[in-house]
Amino acid sequence: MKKWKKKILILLSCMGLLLLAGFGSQAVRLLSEKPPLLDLDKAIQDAQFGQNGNEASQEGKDPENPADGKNKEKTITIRVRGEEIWYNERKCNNLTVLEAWLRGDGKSQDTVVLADDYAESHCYDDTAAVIEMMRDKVGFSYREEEW
Amino acid sequence: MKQKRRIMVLVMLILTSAFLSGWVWNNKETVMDVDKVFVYRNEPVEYFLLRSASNSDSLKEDYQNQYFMMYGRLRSKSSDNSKVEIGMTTVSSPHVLTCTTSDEDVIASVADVRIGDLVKVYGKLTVGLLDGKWTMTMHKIEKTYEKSVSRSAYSVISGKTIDKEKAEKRVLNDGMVTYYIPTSWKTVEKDLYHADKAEDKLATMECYQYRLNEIDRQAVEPESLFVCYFDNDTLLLRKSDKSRTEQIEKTILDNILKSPEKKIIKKTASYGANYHYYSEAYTNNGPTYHAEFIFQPVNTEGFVIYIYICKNKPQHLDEIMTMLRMVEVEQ
Repeated sequence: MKKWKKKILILLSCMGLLLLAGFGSQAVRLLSEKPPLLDLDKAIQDAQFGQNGNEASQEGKDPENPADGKNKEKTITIRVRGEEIWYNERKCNNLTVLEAWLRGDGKSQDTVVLADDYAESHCYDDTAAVIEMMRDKVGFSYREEEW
Repeated sequence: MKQKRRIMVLVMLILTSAFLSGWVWNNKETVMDVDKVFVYRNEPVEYFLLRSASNSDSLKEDYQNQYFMMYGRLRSKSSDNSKVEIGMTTVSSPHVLTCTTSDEDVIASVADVRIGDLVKVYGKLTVGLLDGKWTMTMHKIEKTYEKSVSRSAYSVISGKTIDKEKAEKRVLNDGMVTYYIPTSWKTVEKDLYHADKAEDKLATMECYQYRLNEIDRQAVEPESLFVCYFDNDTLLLRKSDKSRTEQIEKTILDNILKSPEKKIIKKTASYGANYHYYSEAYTNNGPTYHAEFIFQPVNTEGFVIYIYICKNKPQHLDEIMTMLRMVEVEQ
Protein backbone atom coordinates (compact mmCIF):
# COMPACT_ATOMS: atom_id res chain seq x y z
CA MET A 1 0.00 0.00 0.00
CA LYS A 2 2.78 2.35 0.94
CA LYS A 3 4.44 1.71 -2.41
CA TRP A 4 1.27 2.65 -4.29
CA LYS A 5 0.88 5.84 -2.30
CA LYS A 6 4.46 6.84 -3.16
CA LYS A 7 3.89 6.16 -6.87
CA ILE A 8 0.68 8.22 -6.90
CA LEU A 9 2.48 11.05 -5.10
CA ILE A 10 5.29 11.07 -7.68
CA LEU A 11 2.79 10.97 -10.54
CA LEU A 12 0.81 13.89 -9.11
CA SER A 13 4.04 15.86 -8.57
CA CYS A 14 5.01 15.30 -12.22
CA MET A 15 1.60 16.43 -13.43
CA GLY A 16 1.78 19.48 -11.21
CA LEU A 17 5.19 20.41 -12.58
CA LEU A 18 4.00 19.96 -16.16
CA LEU A 19 1.04 22.22 -15.48
CA LEU A 20 3.40 24.82 -14.05
CA ALA A 21 5.44 24.51 -17.24
CA GLY A 22 2.37 25.52 -19.18
CA PHE A 23 1.32 22.28 -20.76
CA GLY A 24 -2.38 21.89 -21.34
CA SER A 25 -3.22 25.63 -21.74
CA GLN A 26 -4.55 26.97 -25.04
CA ALA A 27 -2.05 28.86 -27.19
CA VAL A 28 -2.61 32.60 -27.72
CA ARG A 29 -3.56 33.26 -31.32
CA LEU A 30 -3.80 36.37 -33.47
CA LEU A 31 -6.97 37.34 -35.29
CA SER A 32 -5.05 37.01 -38.54
CA GLU A 33 -1.67 35.33 -39.06
CA LYS A 34 -1.09 36.68 -42.58
CA PRO A 35 0.11 39.15 -43.61
CA PRO A 36 2.53 39.35 -40.65
CA LEU A 37 2.26 42.10 -38.06
CA LEU A 38 5.46 43.53 -39.56
CA ASP A 39 7.29 42.49 -42.74
CA LEU A 40 10.70 42.89 -41.14
CA ASP A 41 12.62 41.48 -44.12
CA LYS A 42 11.19 44.03 -46.54
CA ALA A 43 11.55 46.91 -44.07
CA ILE A 44 15.24 46.12 -43.57
CA GLN A 45 15.76 45.63 -47.31
CA ASP A 46 14.15 48.99 -48.12
CA ALA A 47 16.28 50.74 -45.51
CA GLN A 48 19.46 49.90 -47.40
CA PHE A 49 18.72 52.21 -50.27
CA GLY A 50 19.25 55.48 -48.53
CA GLN A 51 17.58 58.88 -48.42
CA ASN A 52 16.66 59.15 -52.11
CA GLY A 53 14.69 55.93 -52.17
CA ASN A 54 12.94 56.88 -48.93
CA GLU A 55 11.89 60.28 -50.28
CA ALA A 56 10.48 58.84 -53.49
CA SER A 57 8.28 56.33 -51.72
CA GLN A 58 7.14 58.78 -49.04
CA GLU A 59 5.99 61.40 -51.52
CA GLY A 60 4.52 58.80 -53.83
CA LYS A 61 6.17 60.29 -56.90
CA ASP A 62 9.52 60.97 -58.50
CA PRO A 63 10.54 64.46 -57.30
CA GLU A 64 11.89 65.29 -60.76
CA ASN A 65 8.77 64.12 -62.59
CA PRO A 66 5.28 64.64 -61.19
CA ALA A 67 4.07 61.55 -63.06
CA ASP A 68 4.65 58.11 -61.63
CA GLY A 69 8.44 57.79 -61.47
CA LYS A 70 8.48 54.02 -61.63
CA ASN A 71 8.96 53.64 -65.39
CA LYS A 72 11.18 56.67 -65.92
CA GLU A 73 14.64 55.73 -67.16
CA LYS A 74 17.55 57.09 -65.21
CA THR A 75 21.33 57.09 -65.18
CA ILE A 76 23.21 55.61 -62.28
CA THR A 77 26.76 56.88 -62.03
CA ILE A 78 29.26 54.74 -60.18
CA ARG A 79 32.55 56.50 -59.70
CA VAL A 80 35.70 54.79 -58.48
CA ARG A 81 38.23 57.14 -56.93
CA GLY A 82 41.32 55.40 -55.58
CA GLU A 83 39.77 52.54 -53.64
CA GLU A 84 36.51 54.36 -52.89
CA ILE A 85 33.27 53.59 -54.66
CA TRP A 86 30.64 56.34 -55.03
CA TYR A 87 27.08 55.53 -56.10
CA ASN A 88 25.39 58.69 -57.44
CA GLU A 89 27.72 60.62 -55.15
CA ARG A 90 26.87 58.56 -52.07
CA LYS A 91 29.74 56.62 -50.60
CA CYS A 92 29.38 52.88 -50.95
CA ASN A 93 31.18 50.91 -48.26
CA ASN A 94 31.85 47.72 -50.18
CA LEU A 95 30.93 45.63 -53.19
CA THR A 96 28.20 43.77 -51.30
CA VAL A 97 26.39 47.04 -50.68
CA LEU A 98 26.93 48.06 -54.32
CA GLU A 99 25.36 44.81 -55.48
CA ALA A 100 22.38 45.26 -53.15
CA TRP A 101 21.83 48.82 -54.33
CA LEU A 102 21.96 47.87 -57.99
CA ARG A 103 19.57 44.99 -57.38
CA GLY A 104 17.03 47.21 -55.66
CA ASP A 105 17.54 50.45 -57.53
CA GLY A 106 18.45 49.38 -61.05
CA LYS A 107 15.77 48.79 -63.70
CA SER A 108 16.04 47.37 -67.19
CA GLN A 109 15.47 50.79 -68.77
CA ASP A 110 18.32 52.41 -66.80
CA THR A 111 21.89 53.15 -67.79
CA VAL A 112 24.76 52.48 -65.43
CA VAL A 113 27.90 54.49 -66.03
CA LEU A 114 31.19 53.41 -64.48
CA ALA A 115 33.54 56.36 -64.18
CA ASP A 116 37.28 56.11 -63.61
CA ASP A 117 38.38 58.89 -61.29
CA TYR A 118 42.02 57.90 -60.74
CA ALA A 119 40.81 54.50 -59.61
CA GLU A 120 43.01 51.75 -58.24
CA SER A 121 42.95 49.15 -61.00
CA HIS A 122 41.97 46.19 -58.80
CA CYS A 123 39.10 48.19 -57.28
CA TYR A 124 37.93 49.35 -60.70
CA ASP A 125 38.04 45.80 -62.10
CA ASP A 126 36.12 44.38 -59.12
CA THR A 127 33.49 47.10 -59.42
CA ALA A 128 33.13 46.47 -63.15
CA ALA A 129 32.67 42.76 -62.47
CA VAL A 130 29.82 43.43 -60.03
CA ILE A 131 28.12 45.82 -62.45
CA GLU A 132 28.39 43.32 -65.30
CA MET A 133 26.95 40.57 -63.11
CA MET A 134 24.00 42.78 -62.16
CA ARG A 135 23.56 43.90 -65.75
CA ASP A 136 23.01 40.27 -66.71
CA LYS A 137 20.43 39.87 -63.95
CA VAL A 138 18.58 43.18 -64.14
CA GLY A 139 19.05 44.06 -67.81
CA PHE A 140 20.19 47.70 -67.62
CA SER A 141 22.63 49.06 -70.14
CA TYR A 142 26.21 49.74 -69.09
CA ARG A 143 29.09 51.88 -70.28
CA GLU A 144 32.44 53.07 -68.98
CA GLU A 145 33.91 56.54 -69.17
CA GLU A 146 36.58 58.80 -67.72
CA TRP A 147 35.48 61.11 -64.89
CA MET B 1 20.64 4.59 -1.35
CA LYS B 2 16.94 4.51 -2.25
CA GLN B 3 16.48 7.91 -0.58
CA LYS B 4 19.33 9.41 -2.62
CA ARG B 5 17.84 8.04 -5.84
CA ARG B 6 14.46 9.57 -5.01
CA ILE B 7 16.04 12.96 -4.37
CA MET B 8 17.94 12.77 -7.67
CA VAL B 9 14.76 11.94 -9.61
CA LEU B 10 12.94 14.84 -7.96
CA VAL B 11 15.74 17.26 -8.78
CA MET B 12 15.78 16.05 -12.41
CA LEU B 13 12.04 16.56 -12.66
CA ILE B 14 12.29 20.09 -11.28
CA LEU B 15 15.13 20.98 -13.66
CA THR B 16 13.29 19.55 -16.67
CA SER B 17 10.22 21.49 -15.76
CA ALA B 18 12.30 24.62 -15.35
CA PHE B 19 13.70 24.23 -18.87
CA LEU B 20 10.26 23.55 -20.29
CA SER B 21 8.72 26.59 -18.63
CA GLY B 22 11.68 28.76 -19.63
CA TRP B 23 12.80 29.59 -16.14
CA VAL B 24 16.42 29.17 -17.20
CA TRP B 25 18.13 32.56 -17.32
CA ASN B 26 18.90 33.86 -20.79
CA ASN B 27 21.82 36.23 -20.56
CA LYS B 28 21.95 37.24 -24.26
CA GLU B 29 23.37 40.74 -24.26
CA THR B 30 20.91 43.53 -24.98
CA VAL B 31 21.71 46.86 -26.60
CA MET B 32 18.85 49.06 -25.38
CA ASP B 33 19.67 48.13 -21.80
CA VAL B 34 18.17 50.51 -19.22
CA ASP B 35 20.51 49.04 -16.59
CA LYS B 36 23.58 50.09 -18.55
CA VAL B 37 22.69 53.19 -20.56
CA PHE B 38 21.29 55.87 -18.27
CA VAL B 39 19.31 58.91 -19.30
CA TYR B 40 19.63 61.90 -16.97
CA ARG B 41 16.82 64.33 -16.53
CA ASN B 42 18.12 67.93 -16.54
CA GLU B 43 17.47 70.02 -13.44
CA PRO B 44 18.72 73.38 -12.17
CA VAL B 45 19.95 72.56 -8.67
CA GLU B 46 18.03 75.51 -7.15
CA TYR B 47 14.75 73.87 -8.14
CA PHE B 48 15.72 70.72 -6.27
CA LEU B 49 17.20 72.55 -3.29
CA LEU B 50 14.11 74.73 -2.79
CA ARG B 51 11.87 71.68 -2.92
CA SER B 52 14.04 69.70 -0.50
CA ALA B 53 14.16 72.70 1.88
CA SER B 54 10.37 72.79 1.92
CA ASN B 55 10.39 69.04 2.65
CA SER B 56 7.83 68.35 -0.02
CA ASP B 57 6.03 64.97 0.28
CA SER B 58 6.43 64.10 -3.34
CA LEU B 59 10.21 64.58 -3.24
CA LYS B 60 11.02 60.91 -2.76
CA GLU B 61 8.69 59.84 -5.54
CA ASP B 62 10.32 62.26 -7.97
CA TYR B 63 13.98 61.90 -7.00
CA GLN B 64 14.80 58.75 -5.01
CA ASN B 65 17.11 56.45 -7.06
CA GLN B 66 16.59 58.60 -10.14
CA TYR B 67 19.21 59.76 -12.61
CA PHE B 68 19.67 63.50 -12.96
CA MET B 69 21.98 66.04 -14.51
CA MET B 70 22.18 68.79 -11.90
CA TYR B 71 23.23 72.23 -13.07
CA GLY B 72 24.71 74.51 -10.42
CA ARG B 73 27.72 76.39 -9.12
CA LEU B 74 30.61 74.55 -7.48
CA ARG B 75 30.78 75.72 -3.85
CA SER B 76 33.36 73.38 -2.37
CA LYS B 77 35.32 70.22 -2.95
CA SER B 78 37.20 67.87 -0.63
CA SER B 79 40.98 67.69 -0.64
CA ASP B 80 40.95 64.23 -2.26
CA ASN B 81 38.39 65.39 -4.89
CA SER B 82 35.97 62.61 -4.00
CA LYS B 83 33.27 64.97 -2.76
CA VAL B 84 31.84 68.27 -4.02
CA GLU B 85 29.02 70.55 -3.03
CA ILE B 86 27.02 72.43 -5.65
CA GLY B 87 24.74 75.34 -4.93
CA MET B 88 22.43 77.75 -6.62
CA THR B 89 23.71 79.73 -9.59
CA THR B 90 21.75 82.96 -9.22
CA VAL B 91 21.46 83.61 -5.49
CA SER B 92 23.72 83.12 -2.55
CA SER B 93 22.25 80.44 -0.31
CA PRO B 94 23.60 78.02 2.31
CA HIS B 95 21.70 75.13 0.70
CA VAL B 96 23.92 72.78 -1.28
CA LEU B 97 23.73 69.31 -2.82
CA THR B 98 26.53 66.95 -1.82
CA CYS B 99 27.92 64.79 -4.62
CA THR B 100 30.35 61.95 -4.02
CA THR B 101 32.34 59.45 -6.06
CA SER B 102 34.89 56.66 -5.73
CA ASP B 103 35.54 56.48 -9.47
CA GLU B 104 39.11 57.51 -10.37
CA ASP B 105 38.10 59.12 -13.67
CA VAL B 106 35.45 61.24 -12.01
CA ILE B 107 37.90 62.21 -9.24
CA ALA B 108 40.29 63.37 -11.96
CA SER B 109 37.49 65.49 -13.48
CA VAL B 110 36.79 67.10 -10.09
CA ALA B 111 40.42 68.20 -10.00
CA ASP B 112 39.85 70.09 -13.26
CA VAL B 113 36.91 72.19 -12.06
CA ARG B 114 37.34 75.20 -9.80
CA ILE B 115 35.26 76.65 -6.99
CA GLY B 116 32.82 79.14 -8.49
CA ASP B 117 32.57 77.36 -11.86
CA LEU B 118 29.18 76.58 -13.35
CA VAL B 119 29.05 72.79 -13.55
CA LYS B 120 26.91 69.93 -14.81
CA VAL B 121 26.91 66.92 -12.51
CA TYR B 122 25.48 63.63 -13.82
CA GLY B 123 24.51 61.00 -11.29
CA LYS B 124 22.00 59.14 -9.19
CA LEU B 125 20.14 60.76 -6.30
CA THR B 126 19.47 58.98 -3.03
CA VAL B 127 18.18 60.04 0.37
CA GLY B 128 19.62 58.79 3.66
CA LEU B 129 17.19 56.62 5.61
CA LEU B 130 18.25 57.99 8.99
CA ASP B 131 19.23 61.60 8.38
CA GLY B 132 16.97 62.30 5.39
CA LYS B 133 19.88 63.99 3.62
CA TRP B 134 20.01 63.90 -0.18
CA THR B 135 23.25 62.90 -1.91
CA MET B 136 24.19 62.36 -5.52
CA THR B 137 26.56 59.57 -6.59
CA MET B 138 28.52 61.25 -9.37
CA HIS B 139 28.99 59.60 -12.78
CA LYS B 140 30.44 62.70 -14.41
CA ILE B 141 31.20 66.34 -13.64
CA GLU B 142 32.15 69.02 -16.14
CA LYS B 143 32.47 72.75 -16.34
CA THR B 144 29.84 74.45 -18.47
CA TYR B 145 29.33 77.88 -19.99
CA GLU B 146 25.58 77.43 -20.44
CA LYS B 147 23.45 80.05 -18.70
CA SER B 148 20.63 77.67 -17.86
CA VAL B 149 19.17 74.21 -18.47
CA SER B 150 15.66 73.16 -19.38
CA ARG B 151 13.70 70.90 -17.01
CA SER B 152 12.10 69.25 -20.01
CA ALA B 153 15.47 68.11 -21.38
CA TYR B 154 17.14 64.73 -21.02
CA SER B 155 20.82 63.93 -21.49
CA VAL B 156 23.06 60.92 -21.80
CA ILE B 157 26.54 60.72 -20.28
CA SER B 158 28.17 61.92 -23.51
CA GLY B 159 26.33 65.19 -23.03
CA LYS B 160 23.97 64.68 -25.99
CA THR B 161 20.68 66.30 -24.96
CA ILE B 162 17.13 66.24 -26.29
CA ASP B 163 14.57 68.76 -25.08
CA LYS B 164 11.09 67.25 -25.05
CA GLU B 165 9.51 70.62 -25.77
CA LYS B 166 11.52 71.03 -28.94
CA ALA B 167 11.23 67.42 -30.09
CA GLU B 168 8.63 66.05 -32.50
CA LYS B 169 5.60 64.58 -30.77
CA ARG B 170 4.00 61.37 -32.00
CA VAL B 171 1.01 59.45 -30.66
CA LEU B 172 -0.12 55.84 -30.81
CA ASN B 173 -3.50 54.28 -30.10
CA ASP B 174 -5.40 57.56 -30.26
CA GLY B 175 -3.11 59.28 -27.79
CA MET B 176 -2.83 56.57 -25.16
CA VAL B 177 0.89 56.52 -25.91
CA THR B 178 2.94 59.64 -26.65
CA TYR B 179 6.54 59.56 -27.71
CA TYR B 180 9.03 62.19 -28.79
CA ILE B 181 11.63 61.93 -31.52
CA PRO B 182 14.64 64.14 -32.27
CA THR B 183 13.95 66.50 -35.17
CA SER B 184 16.63 64.75 -37.22
CA TRP B 185 14.46 61.61 -37.22
CA LYS B 186 11.61 63.37 -39.04
CA THR B 187 13.24 63.05 -42.44
CA VAL B 188 13.91 59.33 -42.01
CA GLU B 189 10.50 58.42 -40.65
CA LYS B 190 8.28 55.97 -42.50
CA ASP B 191 4.70 55.09 -41.57
CA LEU B 192 4.41 51.39 -42.36
CA TYR B 193 0.74 51.08 -41.36
CA HIS B 194 -1.10 54.05 -42.85
CA ALA B 195 0.81 53.95 -46.17
CA ASP B 196 -1.14 54.95 -49.30
CA LYS B 197 0.53 52.43 -51.57
CA ALA B 198 0.05 48.73 -50.97
CA GLU B 199 3.75 47.99 -51.41
CA ASP B 200 4.63 50.50 -48.66
CA LYS B 201 2.17 49.01 -46.15
CA LEU B 202 4.48 46.64 -44.30
CA ALA B 203 2.62 46.42 -40.99
CA THR B 204 -0.84 45.38 -39.81
CA MET B 205 -0.38 47.20 -36.50
CA GLU B 206 0.50 50.86 -35.94
CA CYS B 207 4.17 51.05 -36.80
CA TYR B 208 6.69 53.77 -37.59
CA GLN B 209 10.14 52.92 -38.91
CA TYR B 210 13.08 55.25 -38.30
CA ARG B 211 15.87 54.52 -40.79
CA LEU B 212 18.64 55.87 -38.60
CA ASN B 213 21.46 55.02 -41.00
CA GLU B 214 20.03 57.61 -43.42
CA ILE B 215 20.30 60.50 -40.98
CA ASP B 216 23.89 61.34 -41.90
CA ARG B 217 23.25 60.67 -45.61
CA GLN B 218 25.97 58.04 -45.60
CA ALA B 219 25.97 54.64 -47.21
CA VAL B 220 26.08 52.31 -44.23
CA GLU B 221 24.36 49.10 -43.26
CA PRO B 222 20.75 49.44 -42.10
CA GLU B 223 20.12 50.67 -38.60
CA SER B 224 16.43 50.97 -37.88
CA LEU B 225 14.19 51.53 -34.93
CA PHE B 226 10.53 50.57 -35.20
CA VAL B 227 7.97 51.99 -32.76
CA CYS B 228 4.73 50.02 -32.83
CA TYR B 229 1.52 49.57 -30.91
CA PHE B 230 -0.13 46.15 -30.59
CA ASP B 231 -3.80 46.51 -29.64
CA ASN B 232 -5.06 43.42 -27.80
CA ASP B 233 -8.68 44.22 -28.62
CA THR B 234 -8.29 44.32 -32.38
CA LEU B 235 -5.41 41.91 -33.00
CA LEU B 236 -6.02 38.96 -30.66
CA LEU B 237 -8.35 36.12 -31.66
CA ARG B 238 -9.74 35.72 -28.14
CA LYS B 239 -10.37 38.69 -25.82
CA SER B 240 -9.96 36.30 -22.88
CA ASP B 241 -6.23 36.08 -23.69
CA LYS B 242 -5.64 39.79 -22.93
CA SER B 243 -4.05 39.16 -19.54
CA ARG B 244 -1.64 36.47 -20.82
CA THR B 245 1.19 38.94 -21.35
CA GLU B 246 4.12 36.59 -21.88
CA GLN B 247 2.17 34.29 -24.21
CA ILE B 248 1.05 37.25 -26.30
CA GLU B 249 4.64 38.45 -26.59
CA LYS B 250 5.76 35.01 -27.76
CA THR B 251 2.93 34.89 -30.30
CA ILE B 252 4.00 38.28 -31.66
CA LEU B 253 7.62 37.10 -31.93
CA ASP B 254 6.52 33.91 -33.69
CA ASN B 255 4.59 35.98 -36.19
CA ILE B 256 7.37 38.45 -37.02
CA LEU B 257 10.52 36.35 -36.68
CA LYS B 258 11.30 33.04 -38.35
CA SER B 259 11.71 30.92 -35.23
CA PRO B 260 12.34 32.75 -31.99
CA GLU B 261 13.93 30.41 -29.49
CA LYS B 262 15.25 32.46 -26.65
CA LYS B 263 13.68 33.64 -23.43
CA ILE B 264 12.13 37.02 -22.72
CA ILE B 265 13.91 38.96 -19.97
CA LYS B 266 12.01 41.37 -17.75
CA LYS B 267 13.46 44.64 -16.42
CA THR B 268 12.06 47.67 -14.64
CA ALA B 269 13.68 50.99 -15.40
CA SER B 270 14.55 53.43 -12.60
CA TYR B 271 11.70 55.64 -13.81
CA GLY B 272 9.19 52.82 -13.36
CA ALA B 273 8.61 51.56 -16.90
CA ASN B 274 8.38 47.79 -17.33
CA TYR B 275 10.28 46.39 -20.30
CA HIS B 276 10.31 42.82 -21.58
CA TYR B 277 13.38 42.17 -23.73
CA TYR B 278 13.99 39.69 -26.50
CA SER B 279 17.03 39.67 -28.77
CA GLU B 280 18.57 37.37 -31.36
CA ALA B 281 20.88 37.22 -34.36
CA TYR B 282 18.42 37.73 -37.24
CA THR B 283 19.30 36.61 -40.75
CA ASN B 284 17.84 38.66 -43.56
CA ASN B 285 18.50 37.17 -47.02
CA GLY B 286 22.18 36.72 -46.24
CA PRO B 287 23.42 39.38 -43.80
CA THR B 288 22.91 38.79 -40.09
CA TYR B 289 21.65 41.60 -37.89
CA HIS B 290 21.15 42.08 -34.19
CA ALA B 291 17.37 42.20 -33.70
CA GLU B 292 16.10 43.41 -30.36
CA PHE B 293 12.52 43.70 -29.19
CA ILE B 294 11.25 45.55 -26.14
CA PHE B 295 7.64 44.98 -25.14
CA GLN B 296 6.16 47.63 -22.85
CA PRO B 297 2.78 46.38 -21.60
CA VAL B 298 0.02 48.98 -21.36
CA ASN B 299 -2.09 47.33 -18.63
CA THR B 300 -3.90 44.51 -20.47
CA GLU B 301 -4.90 46.82 -23.34
CA GLY B 302 -1.85 46.23 -25.50
CA PHE B 303 1.85 46.76 -25.92
CA VAL B 304 4.20 49.41 -27.14
CA ILE B 305 6.81 47.45 -29.09
CA TYR B 306 10.24 48.84 -29.89
CA ILE B 307 12.24 46.86 -32.44
CA TYR B 308 15.89 47.71 -33.06
CA ILE B 309 17.85 46.34 -35.99
CA CYS B 310 21.55 46.97 -36.39
CA LYS B 311 24.70 45.45 -37.76
CA ASN B 312 27.93 45.69 -35.75
CA LYS B 313 28.08 48.71 -33.45
CA PRO B 314 24.93 50.79 -32.78
CA GLN B 315 25.37 54.35 -34.04
CA HIS B 316 22.33 56.07 -32.55
CA LEU B 317 21.91 54.38 -29.18
CA ASP B 318 22.02 57.66 -27.24
CA GLU B 319 19.03 59.06 -29.13
CA ILE B 320 17.12 55.78 -28.88
CA MET B 321 17.52 55.54 -25.09
CA THR B 322 16.51 59.19 -24.67
CA MET B 323 13.44 58.62 -26.85
CA LEU B 324 12.60 55.58 -24.70
CA ARG B 325 12.94 57.61 -21.50
CA MET B 326 10.57 60.31 -22.72
CA VAL B 327 7.69 57.98 -23.67
CA GLU B 328 4.42 58.74 -21.86
CA VAL B 329 1.81 56.03 -21.38
CA GLU B 330 -1.67 56.62 -19.98
CA GLN B 331 -2.25 54.01 -17.29
